[in-house]
Amino acid sequence: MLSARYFPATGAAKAIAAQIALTDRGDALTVQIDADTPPFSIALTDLDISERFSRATRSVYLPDGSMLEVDDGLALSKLLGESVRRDSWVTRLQHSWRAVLISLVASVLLALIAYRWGLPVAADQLSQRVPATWTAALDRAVLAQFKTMGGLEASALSPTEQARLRAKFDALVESEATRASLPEASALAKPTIYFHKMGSVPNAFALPGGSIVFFDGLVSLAGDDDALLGVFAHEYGHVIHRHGLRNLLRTAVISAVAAWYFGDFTALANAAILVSQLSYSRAFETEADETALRLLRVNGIKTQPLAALFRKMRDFEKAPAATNSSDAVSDAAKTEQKRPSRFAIPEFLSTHPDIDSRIERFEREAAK
Amino acid sequence: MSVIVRYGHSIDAVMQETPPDPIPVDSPNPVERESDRPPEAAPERVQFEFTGSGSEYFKIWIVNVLLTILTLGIYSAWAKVRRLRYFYNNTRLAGSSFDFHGSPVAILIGRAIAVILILLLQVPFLNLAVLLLYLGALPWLLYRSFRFHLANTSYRNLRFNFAGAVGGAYRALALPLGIVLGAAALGGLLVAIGGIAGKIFGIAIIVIAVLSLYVLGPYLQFRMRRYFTQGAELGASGFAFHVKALEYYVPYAVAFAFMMLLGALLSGVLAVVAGVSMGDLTDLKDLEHKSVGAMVVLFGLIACFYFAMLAIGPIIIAMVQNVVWRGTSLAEKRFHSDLRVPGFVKLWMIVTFLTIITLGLYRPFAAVKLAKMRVEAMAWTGAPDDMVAILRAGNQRAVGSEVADLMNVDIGI
Repeated sequence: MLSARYFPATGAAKAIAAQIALTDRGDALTVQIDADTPPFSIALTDLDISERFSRATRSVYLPDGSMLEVDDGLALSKLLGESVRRDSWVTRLQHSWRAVLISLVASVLLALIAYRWGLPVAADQLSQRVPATWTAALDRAVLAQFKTMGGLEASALSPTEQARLRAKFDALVESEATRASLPEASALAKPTIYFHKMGSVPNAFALPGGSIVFFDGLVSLAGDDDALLGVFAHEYGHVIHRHGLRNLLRTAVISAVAAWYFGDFTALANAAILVSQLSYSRAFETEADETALRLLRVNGIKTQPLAALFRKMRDFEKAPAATNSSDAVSDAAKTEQKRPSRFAIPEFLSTHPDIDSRIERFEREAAK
Repeated sequence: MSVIVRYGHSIDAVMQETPPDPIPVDSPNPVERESDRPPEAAPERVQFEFTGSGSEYFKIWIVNVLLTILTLGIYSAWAKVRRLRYFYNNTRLAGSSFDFHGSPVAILIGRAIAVILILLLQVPFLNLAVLLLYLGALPWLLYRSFRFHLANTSYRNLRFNFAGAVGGAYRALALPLGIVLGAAALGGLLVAIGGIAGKIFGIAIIVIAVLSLYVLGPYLQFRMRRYFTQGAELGASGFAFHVKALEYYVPYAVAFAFMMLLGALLSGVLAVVAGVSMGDLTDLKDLEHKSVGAMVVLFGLIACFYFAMLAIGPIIIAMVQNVVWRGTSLAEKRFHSDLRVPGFVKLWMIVTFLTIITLGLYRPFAAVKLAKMRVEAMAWTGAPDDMVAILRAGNQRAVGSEVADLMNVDIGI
């Protein structure tokens, strides 16, 4: 026998004391409302019984719409025992510390596996299926974003100079040698090329949707078409392998999962993740370098100018802080160059420690 | 993701711009609470109780996390129902607890529609149409959300019900917004065709209209809450709302004053620290040349500032809860809410800190502690035995609620 409060289907919310018990056959519940009314039985399969929590009341809904409220949830579970209305397997798991420990470990492991292997594969597959109109619109949006927050200006290069460079880049993309050595390139449209200016910052980067942006600072620092073709080949490598899109999709999934897991703690973190991931990982850089090397080689373009440009850019970064910090001009250049990098504009040469080995790689190729 | 104390708070879940999952301390000592009661209300107050425990909810939560991962998110609808039932069933008034009857399948369908909507929002050109459609449907979605949550909540076998008409949701939101947007449009027209005086006047109107969008936030929340409360019923008894619009501004004013005070304090301390030892510490252009010690002090101060900013959310939540429930009655009997703001803020900070350093594992404990403090601050002056049911509303579909929930509707602007 177990005490309960009986509430009829309609009428008042006044609690009526009741007693419940299991019938001898164990397939029905006997309800005794008060001493004057005869007890009645209801098959367990007709009952809707709420889940057991340790200190919460439980409700038993009868088919006629009336309800029994039970204070001792554990006693109700014991009463129901192994009948058709025994605790569900999820409920049992929830009350077992062993299951909880296993869930904790398994959740962490699954999350790590999904992050390490599942996510990259899914993002790569998905990135193949994003329509071109979508990626173009995405790039315009990203560029507009940079303009509002990063001090991006219109290029000072003359339209003729811009057209000349575009033609060179297009020729590289469309050459027979490129098509033969990079079959995946022929499936892609020519990348849209933007010229912009941000002080004297020497930079170029590929946008997630496959457009490529050149800064005036890089064009003037290179001073050599072959070096610029080398830079273009590297960025085109990012485009062919859809690095930007893959990063973006991974980030989107991570943000969604983080938002679900943390609830509302991540509003700021999400933005940070999204922005930080616009710069490429080292593996992507290496892959883009390999593609660039191959493109330059098959098209008979020298790699020495690109290596020389790398060197200039490395020195441009290092110079002011280490050596001639008294030089007002280079100090200004440095401040100007450092500032934008805080705003997540991806950099052509990220300051990875392996920059010297990258230079060496292009010089070795040149020596061949 | 969504709120914890649901039976009467679902509107908060949808509308509060500060998120939902609160964070706090041990329940106040009952004796203390007793002594704080206003004497005239003492006789027949029934206090709300919360019987949930952090360790128990942690077990439920982690098992549901695993099942959600294993089913690639599908189980999350069932997990949500479990979570709601845990908090409802552990909330008691006069010995009886609340119950939730929403169907996980309805929630799942709602989530699927929400995901499709979010995907459509990413498609160029189409997204604008979808966004306009969504904004136009927002009051209807809120209305559906209220109906879903109330019709699926019960107490002592009496169902809650939402009797408000959908038009009320449009009036509550559209009237203030319409006035502002209309004024802005008028200003734009004046700028476009007016003379010099007309242009200046037009610009002034636009500036005022834009600023009033911020100022209108609490007023919109007030109107939405009034619509919600006035439409709510338990059995045959209706809820009534006695709050004045101005009272809704008090929590925001207090939070704003707190923020200003904190900013002034930080600037003062920074100035002193900078003046005493490190030279121009605040000159951020030249960070690399500062000593490590100076950097640590600087970032320490800024971190403290950000942490203190966390207090704004709980200040508003606690004060709004008190305003709303002191001004709400059921069957002509008032509710009370004596949530102590300093205590709630303290608890919120503690559980936020613990949640962060445990990478989220403390969240279930946090949710229970915050819910306990919020629920146990409340009381009702009526007698549940007198409640009478004539209504038994059927289950509502969940679509509206879930779309609004997933898109994190932020009406507070």
